Amino acid sequence: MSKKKKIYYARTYRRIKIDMKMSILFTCLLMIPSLIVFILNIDTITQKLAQITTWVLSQVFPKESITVMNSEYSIFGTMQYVELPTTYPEFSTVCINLAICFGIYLIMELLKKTGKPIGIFLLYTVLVHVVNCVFFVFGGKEFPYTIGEYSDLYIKQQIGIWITFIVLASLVVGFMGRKAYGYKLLTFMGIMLYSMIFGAVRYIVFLFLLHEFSVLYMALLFFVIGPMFDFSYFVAIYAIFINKIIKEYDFGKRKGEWKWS
Amino acid sequence: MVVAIIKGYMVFNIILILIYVIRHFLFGINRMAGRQRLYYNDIYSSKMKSITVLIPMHNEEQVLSYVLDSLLECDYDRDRLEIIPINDNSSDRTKELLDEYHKKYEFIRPLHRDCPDRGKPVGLNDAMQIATGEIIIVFDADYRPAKDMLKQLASAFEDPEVGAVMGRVIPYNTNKNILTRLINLERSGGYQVDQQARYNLKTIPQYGGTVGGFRKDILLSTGGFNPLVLAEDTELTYRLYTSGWKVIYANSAECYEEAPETWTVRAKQIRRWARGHNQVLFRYFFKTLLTPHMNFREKLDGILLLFVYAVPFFMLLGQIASLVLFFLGEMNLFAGWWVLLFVATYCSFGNFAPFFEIGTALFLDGIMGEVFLLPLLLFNFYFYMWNISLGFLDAIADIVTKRKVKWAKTARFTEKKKV
Repeated sequence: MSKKKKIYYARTYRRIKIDMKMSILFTCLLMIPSLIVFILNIDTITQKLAQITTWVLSQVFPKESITVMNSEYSIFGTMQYVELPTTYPEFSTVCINLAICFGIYLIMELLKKTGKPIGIFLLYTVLVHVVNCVFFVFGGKEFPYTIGEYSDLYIKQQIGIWITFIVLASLVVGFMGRKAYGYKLLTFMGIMLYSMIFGAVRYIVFLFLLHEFSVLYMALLFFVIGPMFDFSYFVAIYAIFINKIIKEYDFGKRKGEWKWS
Repeated sequence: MVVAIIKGYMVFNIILILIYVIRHFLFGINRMAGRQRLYYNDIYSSKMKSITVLIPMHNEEQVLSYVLDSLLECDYDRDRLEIIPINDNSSDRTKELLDEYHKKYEFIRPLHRDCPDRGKPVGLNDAMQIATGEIIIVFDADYRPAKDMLKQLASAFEDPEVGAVMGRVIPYNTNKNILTRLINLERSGGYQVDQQARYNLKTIPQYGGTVGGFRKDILLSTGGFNPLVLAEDTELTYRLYTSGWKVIYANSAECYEEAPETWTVRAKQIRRWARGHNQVLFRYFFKTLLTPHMNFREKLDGILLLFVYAVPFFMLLGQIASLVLFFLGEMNLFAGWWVLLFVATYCSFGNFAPFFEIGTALFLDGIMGEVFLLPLLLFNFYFYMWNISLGFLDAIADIVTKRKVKWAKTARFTEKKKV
């Protein structure tokens, strides 16, 4: 009879003892100052973002007039965004896009991929883009956004993402595991830093695409490669944190901290 | 006016989903750091309860020997045990195989059903009529109960308040592909954290239709399972609570199941669950609100649990509403705040358990590595939202047309046991 090399702790009712007051305090210390600093500096942050974006885009489009605009955003005060001349799609481009969407749908049907998660995600993407295309077939002049207005929307959306991330990241790391404050802080910083960098890069890329290839792709960029992708890397960084915590508690120095009710 | 309604709907959606996020967050904290409510593991009775194990089967020749052999290994007094495999209109060798078992073991008494009304609820109803045990334990045919499973499940019924008990389900084919791995994450979050936290907090642990049991007399006195309801398990949970009984969760009673290995099978399963669960929502919403047998906490959680399979449909409408607002040029107000909708959706319904709940479960289960799959739930979110919404619409169509539901079995993937 083979013998077990290792006997694992019974998982059924195990738990850890956390200092609830310290966890709440740590969460608040992570969340509240970050929120205050962020909200008080929205103008500065968006100004820097706009400056970087303007600089990058002026290298790509040296002849275009690229300006930084101000806008009021409810209680958050002033925020800044980049204004670019709007490029509208040619009718032939709209038709080609519609044909491509139809082609993607047909291929997925033929490959029987429409019922799979990636297929459903792609169908959603295609649907959003088709609606945008149809809008330009029948009422292109009525399209409600210029690149400047989209840019304004994007910054507002990004502010929403950053505020949500500060709150959510503080909560999900703040109560996980006993102490481990270093890991928690690192995870929080990692999420926010990645979000800042990714948000900025995406802003530049989106404005480039909209100006270069027209506002036909606006809804696609806004709905499909929007907040959902931010949450993917949020969860990915959180997963690294959890894996580290699991290692600490099952194989590391914290393995003696398990309680059984 | 229309824009105002859509905006109002968006606000409703955001609030609703935030409530679920808070609920699951509290579950996670409670399970990780709260005092755990133990199951009745230490109860030993000199006279075991007489039990009947029912195993609904439809063309289960591939898997039936696994579940029966596992049950034969179970530690339970043979004179207090009866096993009734319900052969429900099988066209494969299920009947012959079951008869062979019957020849070897007298207490395995197959019920062969050969009639047009196929389905789990009617099959269980017929089997309960001939069952001799006072407690009914149910397993699906693809399950593999552990040796102490029957003893564990039966011991809860020493408590006269307990109407049903539910054990923990763990997939055994987790390494098969990405789908089975993701289902394993869901199951971990759903049982290790969600069910146990609900048990800790004395809200509504749910009887799941398999790896669980109930008192036969309650079911028979209330007319048996309703064949018009696909989620007979959820229906039983609410029937018991609204009549003053309790459902108990046994986290220690671990049983292994076969997780679906293809997305097509999973989609059908999820759609069926959503349809059944929403049928129960329509039948029990007011009963749950008005019953004198449930306290405020149970009612609150009971209502939230009832809506679990309706919320993805609300979210789908939310996505459509946000598209409409976008093309009407009315997105300005929501540009920052609709993010909350996404946070909440991803947290709550990217899967059956939010990512932080699954993270907590994997931490408690001590499962390293698998946690890196969490970001893939992004794609599952659309998959579930779509299929659950279809199930929700099915349930509405059931109510409107009063059509008879048809039971569909989940396809099996295990290779037949070699004798």
